[in-house]
Amino acid sequence: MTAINRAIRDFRKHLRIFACYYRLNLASALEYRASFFMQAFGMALSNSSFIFFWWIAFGHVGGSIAGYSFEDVLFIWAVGSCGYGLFAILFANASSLTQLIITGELDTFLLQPCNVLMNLLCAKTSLQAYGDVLYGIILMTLFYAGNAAAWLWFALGSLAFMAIFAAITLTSHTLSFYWGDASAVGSLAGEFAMNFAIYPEKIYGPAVRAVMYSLIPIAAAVHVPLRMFHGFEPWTALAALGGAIAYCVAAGAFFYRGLRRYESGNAIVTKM
Amino acid sequence: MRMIIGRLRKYYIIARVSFINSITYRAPLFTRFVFYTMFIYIFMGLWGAIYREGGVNGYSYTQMVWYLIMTEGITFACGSGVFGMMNSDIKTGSIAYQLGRPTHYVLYQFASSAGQMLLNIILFGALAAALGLIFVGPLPGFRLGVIPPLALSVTLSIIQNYFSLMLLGLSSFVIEDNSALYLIYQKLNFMLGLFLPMEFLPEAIQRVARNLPFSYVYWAPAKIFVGYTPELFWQLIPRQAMWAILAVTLTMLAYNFSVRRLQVNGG
Repeated sequence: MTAINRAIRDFRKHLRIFACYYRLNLASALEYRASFFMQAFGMALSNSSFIFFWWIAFGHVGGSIAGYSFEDVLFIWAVGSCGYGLFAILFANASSLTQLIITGELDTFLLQPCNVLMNLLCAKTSLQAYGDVLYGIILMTLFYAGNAAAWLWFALGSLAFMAIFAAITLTSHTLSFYWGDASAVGSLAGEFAMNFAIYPEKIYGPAVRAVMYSLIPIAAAVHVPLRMFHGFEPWTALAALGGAIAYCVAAGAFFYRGLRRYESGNAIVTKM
Repeated sequence: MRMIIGRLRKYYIIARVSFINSITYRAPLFTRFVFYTMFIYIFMGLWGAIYREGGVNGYSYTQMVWYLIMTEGITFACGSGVFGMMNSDIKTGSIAYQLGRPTHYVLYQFASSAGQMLLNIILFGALAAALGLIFVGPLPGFRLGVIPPLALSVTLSIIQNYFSLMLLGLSSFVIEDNSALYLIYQKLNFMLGLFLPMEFLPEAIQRVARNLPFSYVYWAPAKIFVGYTPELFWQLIPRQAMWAILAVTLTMLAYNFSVRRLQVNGG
């Protein structure tokens, strides 16, 4: 019983720290209000250019492209954009892991009385990411306004995308514990994940599709929710959910295993 | 004349040093090769799916893939971080160190990037040719005689794009956060040439796009590459030259105006 109570207390404490990080990150973003809104607006506008591309492409061929209708493409874009935005708002620091390992700045995270992984992931935010989240919501509002099922799968897909993308980024940068600078692998993994998510899956060959569901399993967060929205299959949904959770847990375990190899630097750093 | 050659010589040396540096530190190129190959693979699959559903204005599938190989090749080989670098130089005040050098800041930046771009063009050119031949085979109707007009078109495209980005970078003298301007410029280039040939756009948008500079960065050289005719050359090159000259002139004027407003504090 005491162990359970301690676990609940610990969970609450970390939830408070998580909320505190989010508040501080948002407050620091709003400190430069003009910059914040310009960046968010710029990102939303930037994403719109891809929809322009699809609008032109569907205008030429009509019907469907690789089995996806125009609305389907907008759905995967909404999930991809919103999910990535949530990742970059809450866990942007995952992309800085290589830099922290190489420079020895990881020490500051290890010294604090808090879960290292959570402390590390939440320490940074991206201003442009608010534009991504907003863009996903705008797309859904414009094309699926009254469709409750679409909104449900959009919300679940976005959350799954956030978690899986964080796990992919974490895993690829964790390789820096073993190889030295793995930032190139980190960027490649992120780009692959993003591109697997925003195009119809059937444009890829079978080998690439296998990667989308295994090594970089972003399809479980985007293409599976779209399929579930068209026709619910409980076993597929369950398999995707189970796979996503297992992947995230494995990413955390891989990080802690790599952390054992970390050699402290001599950099003197303050973390306020 | 000798004085002009003497002045230009230092920029040639800067470009040469940058070229040698790029050869020495070539590891980052590998990542860019992988990204480039990935984008070509994705768009090849995407356009393959589009062409399976129906035809598209005036381009065969093979021409379309070569078109993308060319536009993405220009992006990867000639893209430079000049916008970010100028932003950083201006905001941090480090531009003050560069102003003290016996070179013109704008020309120094261009010469410095030119060396790197030259190496990129050679290496990405080889990769682009290999990818095109492997994925879709030779470009129908292509002959070696197309290379000189293509080289001229690509050069003008590089100059126009580079100086437009510098102009945007200089805007940080007057705007606190100019990243949205960069995103807008980048996406207009994407929509009006990089991802889509101009012929695919609705008639009304085409009419507007032909009178704007954005299509001349990617569409013009790629169009010359996949469908060269002497008429096309005379139709596109003068416009490209006009936009390139305008971009250079506006950049120089904006630089001269901005540098007078520069205030550097601290030690």
